[in-house]
Amino acid sequence: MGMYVPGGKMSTAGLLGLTRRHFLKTSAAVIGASLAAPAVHAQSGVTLRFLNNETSAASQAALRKACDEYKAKFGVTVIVDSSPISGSMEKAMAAINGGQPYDIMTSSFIATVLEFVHAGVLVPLTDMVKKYEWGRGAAWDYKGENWYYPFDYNLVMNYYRKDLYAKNGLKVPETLDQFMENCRALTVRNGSNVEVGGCVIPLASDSATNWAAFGNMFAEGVELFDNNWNVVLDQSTNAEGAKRFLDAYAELYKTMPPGMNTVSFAQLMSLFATGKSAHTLYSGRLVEALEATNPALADQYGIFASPGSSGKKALSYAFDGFCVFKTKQSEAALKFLQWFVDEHYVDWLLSAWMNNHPARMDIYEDKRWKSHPMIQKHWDTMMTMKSFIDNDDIVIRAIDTSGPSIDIRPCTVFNANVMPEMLQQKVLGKASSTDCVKAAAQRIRSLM
Amino acid sequence: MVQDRRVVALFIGSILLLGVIIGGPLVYAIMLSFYSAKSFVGELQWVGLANYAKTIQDPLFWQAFANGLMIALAAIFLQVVLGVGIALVLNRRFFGQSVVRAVSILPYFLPTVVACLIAQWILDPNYGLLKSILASFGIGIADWSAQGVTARGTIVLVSVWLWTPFVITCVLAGLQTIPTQLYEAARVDGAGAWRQFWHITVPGLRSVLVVVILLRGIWMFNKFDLIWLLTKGGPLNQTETLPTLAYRKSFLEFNLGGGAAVATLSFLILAGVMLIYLRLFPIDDAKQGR
Repeated sequence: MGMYVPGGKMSTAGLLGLTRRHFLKTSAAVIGASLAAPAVHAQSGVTLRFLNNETSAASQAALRKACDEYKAKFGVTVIVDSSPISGSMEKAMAAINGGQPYDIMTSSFIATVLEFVHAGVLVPLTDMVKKYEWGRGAAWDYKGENWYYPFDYNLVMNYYRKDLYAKNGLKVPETLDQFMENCRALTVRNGSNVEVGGCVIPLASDSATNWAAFGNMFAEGVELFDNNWNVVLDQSTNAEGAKRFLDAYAELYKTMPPGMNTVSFAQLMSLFATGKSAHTLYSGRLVEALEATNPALADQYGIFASPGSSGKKALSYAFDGFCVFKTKQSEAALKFLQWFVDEHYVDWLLSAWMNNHPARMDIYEDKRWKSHPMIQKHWDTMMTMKSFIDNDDIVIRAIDTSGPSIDIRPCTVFNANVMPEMLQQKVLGKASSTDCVKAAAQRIRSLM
Repeated sequence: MVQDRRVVALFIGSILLLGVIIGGPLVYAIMLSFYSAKSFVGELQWVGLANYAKTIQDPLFWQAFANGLMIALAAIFLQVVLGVGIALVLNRRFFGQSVVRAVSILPYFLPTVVACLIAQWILDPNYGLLKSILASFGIGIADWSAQGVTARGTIVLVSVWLWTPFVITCVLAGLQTIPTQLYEAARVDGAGAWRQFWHITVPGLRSVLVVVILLRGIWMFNKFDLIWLLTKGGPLNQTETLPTLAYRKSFLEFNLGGGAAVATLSFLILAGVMLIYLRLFPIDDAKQGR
C-alpha cells in the first residue's frame, strides 16, 4: 500500500510506515541521543521544590518559564511555591521540620541565611559564586563559604522630585542640613497638618524601618560594634554621631506626613507616587511603581545617597539571592541553580528591571540586559546606582550587616527592632537624644 | 451493656483526639519554654526556669499585660453595654425589625483582616475617608497611631464594631426566654421601665451575660490579629499585649523559649482569672437565677 511522504515520493513502507532501514536508523539515533544526554537519564523523575519570595507577576512568570524549559530539557520538575517575604522563613522551617524541606529558596534577609547555616541545613555555593566578579560586599562569606547566590542590591536611595526642586530653586543636598532645608522648603501645610510631606522616613517597629531609616546615621559614621564585637553605639564619636542623627530626625519628622508609625514598604512608595511627599526612601522598585501608576512622575524623579552633617554619603541596603538546602536532592538542586544562573539569570533580573539592581558586575555589560527598554529609559538612574557601589567613599551599611564581619549578632539587633525603637523614643517618647542612644546601646548589650 | 461500651469508646476516642489536637501543641509550647532555641530548626538547649525568670523581670512583659487588660476591659464594657442596649431595641416590635436584626449582626461576619483594612482606609491620616470628611468642615485629623491612648482607643473601637453583634445575638436570644408575664405583673404593680429592667431583665439575662463576658474576656485578652493588623504593638509598645509579645519574641526575634514562656504565663494568668470569675459568678447558679 502506497503512502504519501513529504517531498512527493511514494514510500513502500509497511503498515506503520517504517522500512527495516528506517527502523534501524531511528533506533541508532535514539540510542545515540540517550548516550549523549546522561543528565536526562540521571535526573528524570526528580522533583525539586523552590520557595520563591519574589511575588510580582513578572518574576513568577520568569521563574515558571525557566522551570518549564528545564523540565522539557532535563525531565526534572521544579515546583515553585511563591510566598511573600514575611513569613517565608517560618514556611521554610516548617517544611524542614515537617520532613519535606524545600530544595531552593530565595532569601532577602541575611538573618535568615545565617539561621539556616547555624542549623546546618544549607549547602555552600562558594564554587558557583566565585566564578564571577561581584559588587562591593555582595558576595559575602560566612565561616569561609558563600551560602547564597546574590542577584540584587536593594540600596535604599533618597528619591526627590526634580520638578519641585526646579520650581523652588533647590539643589541636590550635599549635607544633612541642606537636606533638612530642602524638606522644609517642600513641606505644604494646612494649619498644623502636613498636607505634602517634605520627606518620609519610616518609624514603625518593622523591617522596613530597619532597612530604610538609617542611611543618614551611617553617613554620620556611626558604628554599632567595634572590631571585637563590643557594643560601641553609646561611646565617643559614635554616640555623638547618633545624637546628631536623632536631632536631625526629630527636625525632619516635623516635615513628614502623619502616620509614620505605621508606614511600611508599600506606603514608602505610595506616598511619593501620589505626591504626598517630596522625598522618599526606596530601592529601584519605586521606579517600576512610578512607571506603573504615575508615568508622568517617572520622568521627574532623581536619586541621591543619604548625606551626613559633614557631607559624607551613605546608603543602607539589603541583598536578595538564592539558597540551596541540604536535602537528598541537593545535587540536582545545585545543577538546576547553575543552569538557571547560566541561562535565565538575565531574564530573572529583567522581571523586576530596576529593583533587581545587579550585584554581578558582568551583567552591566550584558547586551540583552542593557537593551531592555526600561533599563534604557532609566539608564542614568541605573548608572548612578552603580556608581554608589563602585565608589568606596560612599558608605554602604545596614543594621543587620553592622560590625566587623557578617554575623548573627547585628541580625538580632535588626529582628528585635532596637533601632526603630530608638527613633520612636526620640520623636514619640520625647526623650533626649543622649537617653535614646544609651537605651539603645543597653538593649543591644542585653541581646548579645 | 453494648451501648455503654460504645459510649465509653466514643468518650475515650474524643479525649484522645482532643489530647492530640489541643494537648499536644500546648504541652510542646510549655516544653519549649524550658529550652533556649534560636530557631525552629536549631538544637534545643535546656535552661530550666531561666526564660520565666527573664520574662518576669522584663518590664515589657508587665506593660503588655497591663495593655491587654486595659484593652480587654474597655472593649468588653462597651460591647456589653452597647450589645444589651441594641438587643433591647431589637427585641421590640417595629416595622422592618427582621431586616434591622440581620443588618445589626453583619459586622460579625466580616473577617478580621477585612475589618482592619476598612478601619485603616477610614482612619488613614493621609488618604482616609474620615480625613476627607473632616477636611470638608475645615477640621484636621490627628495621627491616631502616634499616641498610645488613641492607638488603644482605635483597637477598642474596631473590636466593638466587630464583636458587639455577638453580644446582641446572645442577649436577644436571652431576652426571648424571659416570660412576658413578669413584665405585665411588674407594670400592674407600678414598676417603671428602669425597675423592670433592673429587677426582671438583668436577672433574666444573668446566665447569658456571665457566659458572654467570660467568652469575650478570653477572646479579647488573647486577641492577636486585630492588634497586629492595626498597630503591630506600637507606638512604643503602647499596644503590645501578651499574644503580640509572644509572637514578636518567637517569630521576629526567634527567641522561641522566651516566646513560649510569655505564652505559658499568659495562659496561666488567663486560667487563674477565669477560675476566680467562675467562682464569683457560677454559671449553674446564674442559670437557676440564684
